[in-house]
Amino acid sequence: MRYLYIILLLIMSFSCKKDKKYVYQVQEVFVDQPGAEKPNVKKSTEYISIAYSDIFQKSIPSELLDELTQGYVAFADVTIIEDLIVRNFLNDNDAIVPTDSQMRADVPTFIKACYNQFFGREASGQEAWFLQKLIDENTGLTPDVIYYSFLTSNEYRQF
Amino acid sequence: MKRRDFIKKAGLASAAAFVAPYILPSGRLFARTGTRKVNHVVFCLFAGGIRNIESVNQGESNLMVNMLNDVSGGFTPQTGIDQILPASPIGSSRLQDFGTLYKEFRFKEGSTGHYSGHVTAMTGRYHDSSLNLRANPPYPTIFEYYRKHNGANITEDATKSWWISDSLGPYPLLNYSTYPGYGAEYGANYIQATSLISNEGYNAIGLPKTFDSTNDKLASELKGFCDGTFGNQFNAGQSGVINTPENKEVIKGFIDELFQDAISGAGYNSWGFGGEMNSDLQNIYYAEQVLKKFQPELTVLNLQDVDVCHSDFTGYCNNLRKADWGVAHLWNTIQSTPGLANDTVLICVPEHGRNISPNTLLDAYGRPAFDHTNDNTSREIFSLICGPSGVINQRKVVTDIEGESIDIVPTIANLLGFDTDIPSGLVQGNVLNSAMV
Repeated sequence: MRYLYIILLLIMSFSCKKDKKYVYQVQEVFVDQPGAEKPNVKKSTEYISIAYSDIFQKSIPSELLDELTQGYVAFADVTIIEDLIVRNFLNDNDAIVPTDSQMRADVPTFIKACYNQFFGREASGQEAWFLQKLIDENTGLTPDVIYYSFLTSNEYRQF
Repeated sequence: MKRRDFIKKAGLASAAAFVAPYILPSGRLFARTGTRKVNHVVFCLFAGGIRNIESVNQGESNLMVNMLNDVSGGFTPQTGIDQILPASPIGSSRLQDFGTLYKEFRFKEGSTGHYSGHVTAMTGRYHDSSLNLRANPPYPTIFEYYRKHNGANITEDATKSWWISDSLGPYPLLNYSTYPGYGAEYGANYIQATSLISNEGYNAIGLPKTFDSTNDKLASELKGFCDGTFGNQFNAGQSGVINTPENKEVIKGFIDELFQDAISGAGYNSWGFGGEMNSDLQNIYYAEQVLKKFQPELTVLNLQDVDVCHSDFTGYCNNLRKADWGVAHLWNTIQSTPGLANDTVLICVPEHGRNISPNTLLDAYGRPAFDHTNDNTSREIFSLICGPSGVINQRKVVTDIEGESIDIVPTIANLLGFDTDIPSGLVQGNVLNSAMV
């Protein structure tokens, strides 16, 4: 009789097994695309003021801001005027731009500084690789050309 | 051929046959419905508020001897209105001989304000008092109709249409509207040259750093990379009117040419006005430079120096004489520019008139001044349409009340062959057929 109980107990323990419920979900992954968090376009005065500060490391004088704003509204294609304003800034003797030797002495630091200063973020691996390669392969590429490219890029115009 | 392949290929062939007729040799995606009468139109808003009394009716003698034939005798100098202008640039012929003069044109509705008058003439619609001076017009401008309804080439090439204004204020807003489906994408290249080509303008953009061709190329490559990795893209409206990369370079070169011209003594110094040069004449000069450089198909410019009439009637008469001389000079430039000569229609219309009754001010010569506050006289204007003899009726004078400000947009559209492409209901006016051959 005792054996019978043991056998029944063994049979019951193997007879019904609760099914496992598998729940499939998509793991949330946040893709940090540059620009996704910069949906707004800078106003002309904001763009000029920030570009001036980035190039001269000081605030733009109000009289100069008025002059530049006038140029802005006197022509329809803002990108042309912005291009000329930035080139004018870079042509100024007071513009604070690293020298070529400073840039090439520590390119990774230069790249990091550019992305931090102009885009307010770190360079992605791809971006750092691309700019490093561009600098390495083009010995005539000067920092002011790189500054110009950043300052006239779409990302710089937005926040 | 398998059945599935046949259906696929037949479908593609049908689609190609459907699309192909619209890709024309000219590169146009969609054909204009109408036929062009000329390839260029210059619309001069002879603005600032001019009464018919002093213009076409010649109440102060003929102050517009370059544009209008004499009603009874030519110009008679008076005290203060006696400046000897440079010799007539068109010799013995008056502009009137090259076209049709509407002596009783009207600005029928809306406020007789400068901006309101400009908006009406450039949109083909009257506007009520709700018109916002701080916003682009609510209805499409002639530039947008032109660039939207003339095919892909013109939609892409903003240098084919220009808006050249004499001053800033609300006028930069007139190159495109806020109307859905139109807007900055179809706007004109706008320039207010006397602000741009100035000491302030030179300090701002006159000394740009230039790179050698290798670095220019590298800059483009890096900028392209930055833009390519950036999620948000700039679009028209956020950045004004968009020009192609090639045209941007041409425009930058053009701006530099204007600076160099100003530095070496502006070309208009040779016109002989000396210290009497005013902003109307300067604006005409810069319009001529745009016409010569880009040969636009549609150009609109304005003049407004006569508005000194609010306090200085004598100055108003003098500025009217200068505007008259300048427009004749503009016509001469058109006729001496290859590509524009004999293929351009010039339209001159004031935006509105001025009151019949003076205000309380007297000028230095004791002449009363006039405002423009919606009375009947301030709605009476003229229109002069000049062009090739095969297109525009020559030496024709319309003395009846005929034509309105809102007719200019459909008339320009008709001349350039796209009037029937403008969606119905948007423009209130009609084509001025009586000026056409």
